[in-house]
Order: sequence, then C-alpha cells, then structure tokens
Amino acid sequence: MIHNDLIPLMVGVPLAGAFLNALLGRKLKGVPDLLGILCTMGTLFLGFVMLRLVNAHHVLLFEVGNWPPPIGIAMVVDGLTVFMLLTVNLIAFLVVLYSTNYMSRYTQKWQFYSLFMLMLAGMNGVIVTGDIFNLFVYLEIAAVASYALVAFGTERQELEAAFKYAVMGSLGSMFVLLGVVWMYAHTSTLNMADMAMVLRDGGSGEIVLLASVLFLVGFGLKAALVPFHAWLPDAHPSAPAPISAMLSGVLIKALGVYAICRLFYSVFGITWELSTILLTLGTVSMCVGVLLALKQWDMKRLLAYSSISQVGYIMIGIGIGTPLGILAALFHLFNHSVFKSLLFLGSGAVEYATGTRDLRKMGGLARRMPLTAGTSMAGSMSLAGIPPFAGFWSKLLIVVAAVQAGLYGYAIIAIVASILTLAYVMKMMRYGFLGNLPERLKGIKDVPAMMKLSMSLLALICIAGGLLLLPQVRELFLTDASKTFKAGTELAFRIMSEVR
Amino acid sequence: MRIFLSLVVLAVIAVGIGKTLMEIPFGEDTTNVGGYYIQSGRDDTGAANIVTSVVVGYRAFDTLGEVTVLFVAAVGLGAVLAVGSASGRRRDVEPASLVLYTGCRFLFPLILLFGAYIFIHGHLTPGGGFQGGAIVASAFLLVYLGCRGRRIRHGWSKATESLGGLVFVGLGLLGLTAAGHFFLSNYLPKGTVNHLFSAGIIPIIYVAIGFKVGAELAGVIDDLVEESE
Repeated sequence: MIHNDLIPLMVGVPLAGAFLNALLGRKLKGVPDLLGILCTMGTLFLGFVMLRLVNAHHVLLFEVGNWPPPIGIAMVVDGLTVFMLLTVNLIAFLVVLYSTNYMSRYTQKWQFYSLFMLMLAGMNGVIVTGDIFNLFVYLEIAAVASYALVAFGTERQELEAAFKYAVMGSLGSMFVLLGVVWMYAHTSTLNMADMAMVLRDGGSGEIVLLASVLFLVGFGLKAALVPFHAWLPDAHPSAPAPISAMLSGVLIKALGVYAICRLFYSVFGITWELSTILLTLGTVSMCVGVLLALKQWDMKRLLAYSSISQVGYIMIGIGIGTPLGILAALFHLFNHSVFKSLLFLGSGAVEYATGTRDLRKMGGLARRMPLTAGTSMAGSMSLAGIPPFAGFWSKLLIVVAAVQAGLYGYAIIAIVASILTLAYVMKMMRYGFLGNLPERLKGIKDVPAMMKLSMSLLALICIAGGLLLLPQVRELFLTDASKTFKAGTELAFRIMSEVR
Repeated sequence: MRIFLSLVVLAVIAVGIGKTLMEIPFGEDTTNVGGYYIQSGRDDTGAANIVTSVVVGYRAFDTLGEVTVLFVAAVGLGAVLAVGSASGRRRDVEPASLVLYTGCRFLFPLILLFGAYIFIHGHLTPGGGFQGGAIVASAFLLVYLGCRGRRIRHGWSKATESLGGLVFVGLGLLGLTAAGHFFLSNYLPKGTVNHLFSAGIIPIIYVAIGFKVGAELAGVIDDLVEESE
C-alpha cells in the first residue's frame, strides 16, 4: 500500500474542465469539443497510470487535505476501483469523440459538455472515494447531471421522462442518505474502512440490517434492478444518443452495481442471505428485462430493456460469489459497457441519418450505412453471446460458475435468457439493417467521420475483448479487481492499520 | 383495497423502523470523530467557527461536491428552460409604485453588504459562503419583485459562477504542486485565531463560494422569471 497524489485528479480534472467550459465555451466555438476530448483523454491516461501502480502496490491511498481518516476524507484505489475507472473513462472518451459530430445538431454545446464532464466527475468521485457520505455527494452530482442531460432535447416526451427519472432517482438518493445517517448514528464514523472495523469489533445489530435494506433499495434503484427499474425504459431512450450510451453503459454500473459491491463486500461483509437476495434480484431482472425487450419496436427502448436484463447477469455473477463468478461478472460488466454504448451510439447514428427510431419504418440500412450496420452487428453479436465475440465468453463464464457452484437452476435460466436475447437482437438487425430499403430512405448518407471512428473503436473492443481472458492480460486487469471481493473487509483492516 | 394494503405495508415498515431505532442509545456520548472536531478544530484549522473548520477544513472535499451539485442544478435548469424563451424579449409591465421602487433601490446595496459580511466572516462567526450567497441572491430577488423590468446581465452572472468554482478547484489543485502538501490542504499561514486574516485558504474558499452561490441563485431566479413571463 502506498500513498498517491494522482487520485484526486480523477475528480479534479473533469470538474475543472466543466467550470472552464462554462467560462470559455459560451463564446469560443471550438472550446467545448476540445476541452471534452482533452479532459476525458487525461482521465483515461490517469486510469492507465493507476492500473500500473495498483498492479505493483495493490492499494493506493490518498488523504484529502492531509487529514488522516477517519477525521478527514480518504480516497482508496484498489483493483476493483481501477477496473471501474478504466471502464468508465474509456467509454466516456469514445462517447465524447462521437459527440463532437452528433451534438452539433443541438444548440448550447457548452452546456452539454459541462453537464457531461460533471457527470463524469461524479462517477469518478463515487468510484475513488473511501468515505460513505462523500460517496452520496458524488452520487448526487452524477445523478443530477444525468437528469438534466435526459431532458436536454426539451421535447415534451423528454421532459416527462426526465421528470420521472428525477423523482425516482431522488427517492433512491434519499434511501441512501437515510442509510448513511443511520450507519453514522450506529458507528459514529463515515470512513468506510473505519466503519467496517467498528462493525467487525462491535458486532452488527438490527440497525445495520435496516441500513443494508436501505442501501440495497437505494443503489438498486440506481442500478435499475427489477422491481426498481420503472424509470429506465423512459429515461435512457429519451436522452441524446451519447448520453444514452453513458447512462446504460456506465452510469447504472458506477452508481448502482459498483456501490452495492463496495458496500456489501468491503464494509458490511457479504453473507449468505445477501448473496441470495442479489441472486434473486439478478435473476428476476434478467428474465423481466429480456421478456419486455422482445416486444419493443422503438430501437432505443429495446436496448434500454436489454440493459435491465444484462445488469441481471452481472448481479447473478456477483451473487454466486465464487472467484470465477466474480471474474465473470466483472468481465461481463466491462463487455456490457462496451457493446451497449456501441449499440446506443449506433441507434443514434441511425436516428441522425433517418430521423426515426421506429424499427417498422426502417429496413435495408446496411446498404446505405455500411459502417454503422457493421459495427452495430458486432455489438449485437456480443450482446447475444455469439462466439468469438467478447460477450460470449463472459456469459459462458457466468453459466460455468453457476454450474460449479451447484446452482443448476440459475444456469439454465441464464441460458434460456441468452437465447431470448438472441431473438430480440435478431429482430433489431432484421428490421433495422437488413431487408428492403423503404423509398423514403433512399437518399440517406452514412454519418460523419468522428462518429464512425468512435463506433469502429468500440466494435474492435467487442471483437477483441475475449483476449482479456488471456492469462497475462487477465492478471493485470480482471484478477486484481476480483481480489477486492476475496479480500472483503480485510481491505479495511489493511487501510486502518496503515493509517494508524 | 389498494389504500388498505399500502397502509398495512406502511405500518409494518414503521414498526420495523421504530423497533430498530430503539436500539440507538439515547443521550449517551458515542461520537468519536465529532468529539475530535470540537476539541482540535480550532487549533488544526485556525478557524474560530467549528462548523466552518469541518465544512471547509476536514471535509472540504464534500463541500466541493455540494458546490458542484448547485452548479449542476443551475446549468441543468438553464439548459432545460433556455429553449422556450426567446431572449431579449421584454414585456411592458406596469411599473411599481415610487415607494416600492425607491425602497428596493435603497435596500439592495445594504443586503449585498450584509451578504458579503456573512461570507467574508465565515471562519469567525456563524454563517459562511452558502448562507452569505443566499442573502446576496435575496437582494436580486427583491429587485426582480420590486423593480420589474430590471435584469442582471446573464454573461456576468454565469462568469462569476464558473470563476467561483474554478477558484475552489484551482486552490485545491495548487496544494498538489507545493511540496509536502495535498489536494485541498491548508497550505497558507493560519495566522492568529479570531483575526479576519486567519485560517489559511478557508476564507478565500468561502468568498469564492459566496460569489458563486449568490450568482448561481440569482441566475436561477432570472431563468425562472424569464420562463414565467
């Protein structure tokens, strides 16, 4: 374990970028695009630097303002943190590349980039913080920015979706805040590591159980687990395509899945009951999401329901709790971030060119937009779990992990859901990109260069993603992340003994 | 039937929460972090106001987050409301009476002065950047209510807002460059407690927050007034 000064830059860089953007971007035309690209590139680079450091030292610690925890706020970077940081910032960078072209249709580009970078700062803050109240604050930044971004088009339907999202999201945040308050009342500390130590020494009473329920509901709402999912199918399709990609690709994972993992593994300590709850919620999400996705005709809405279902897969992997299950869940989390952002960006490209999201009004787009069709095909195949695309390997690992753990029922359900996934993916491909080109769409052109570049890069990751499982690469990226789960509350012990 | 069912569910939850909360000991001193703040806050940060020593000292990173939440809300509101109103449109409204008009003009600078006092003395007396900023914004609200037709200039308020945020982040990041210091650490001399120029970077941050919050809330009021006309 070492101290590291780079950690606060993960939050500071996008935050400064957002403020600068508001200051300069209003007048100077090129500034928003440039700042967006520079900031996300910077945080991505920092993520890689931290990956190297974590590989060497396992845990990085930073005490904000030089106050030792639990007095001040600590930032902790371990394998899981760095894994999430890289996933989030990689997607953010590619989405910004795409936005440079896509967002020129909208006025007020600086507002978009400001909100985008604030959302990124919020997510990075949630990921690196080691303080439970600080987690809530940065959760709010990311959430409030995403409410505004969903409403960015300011059409009637978008405002309605944003309002619904804001109400449900605030409710979730309130649950989290109430949980934080009660945990503070019980342990009289806000630092996660210190809290874990207090819980281990002082035993856990009913109040911890109550707070666990509140956290599960609050973060479950953010992760859109069924039955807390009702806002997602409205909010994600209504946002501009780059934002849909961010929301479905990384926001629900950073605020929901990551926070659940961090709290229940590193602070409370996982129990059999909790694993069972996660398994059940995951299975229900997976089934409900896939069944509802099947009957959608709106391309983005279909993808939104698919996100609910795929987060279910991730939760099942985490609920299984064996090293292989965790590894598979994390791998699927990464894959889902990549292919779901790619598909949302693809649907955005289709909307950009044709002006519609309704699958019934499309067809034969592959002839007019070959690159969009090709990249979307790669994303779809990864989503459906066709070998050798990355999604196949992660789903296979989840099923294998379930079988190894003796959970045959879950394995069978996961396979059935995977077949249904293939069905809705085929529907999207068949009606959208294959078949006959309608007369109305004869004159359309493929999208501008930056959008193409961004989608091609994502498609490449979809195809080559399976390589992450090669032993040398796996050691660097996935294994370190899954060690966090194995260490559990032991991490807290190491941090606190380092501090004292 | 549905109402009955929801009442039953609510009752079950209420009993559960009530039972659990009985567990928290009442009236006993269980604080350890809080106790430390009260004992050492003054010496550690040089701020006479202990709340300030926590808000801008120990947990400054949270405050940076809270300032940002407000900024997000203001930018978001601007983005959502900006479309409907064609700016520059000015409706002819009936002017307010002379008494009201003069009263507002008389009070406006006084309220600004009071707000500035509150945020400049945030490290010495109760109050701080958020409170002072809210008072400053109330002065603008008074002008909007009393002297109809008067406007703040948009660019000006937005620039203040972003500058305030940049000063906060910049001061924090500056700590990283100075040797032996950290993000958001108090690297300026602490001075004598109870003096105006004391407590290092805390007053500077609070002044920046005061300007930022004042400009932000005034901007929000302006956005909403524009929308309602």
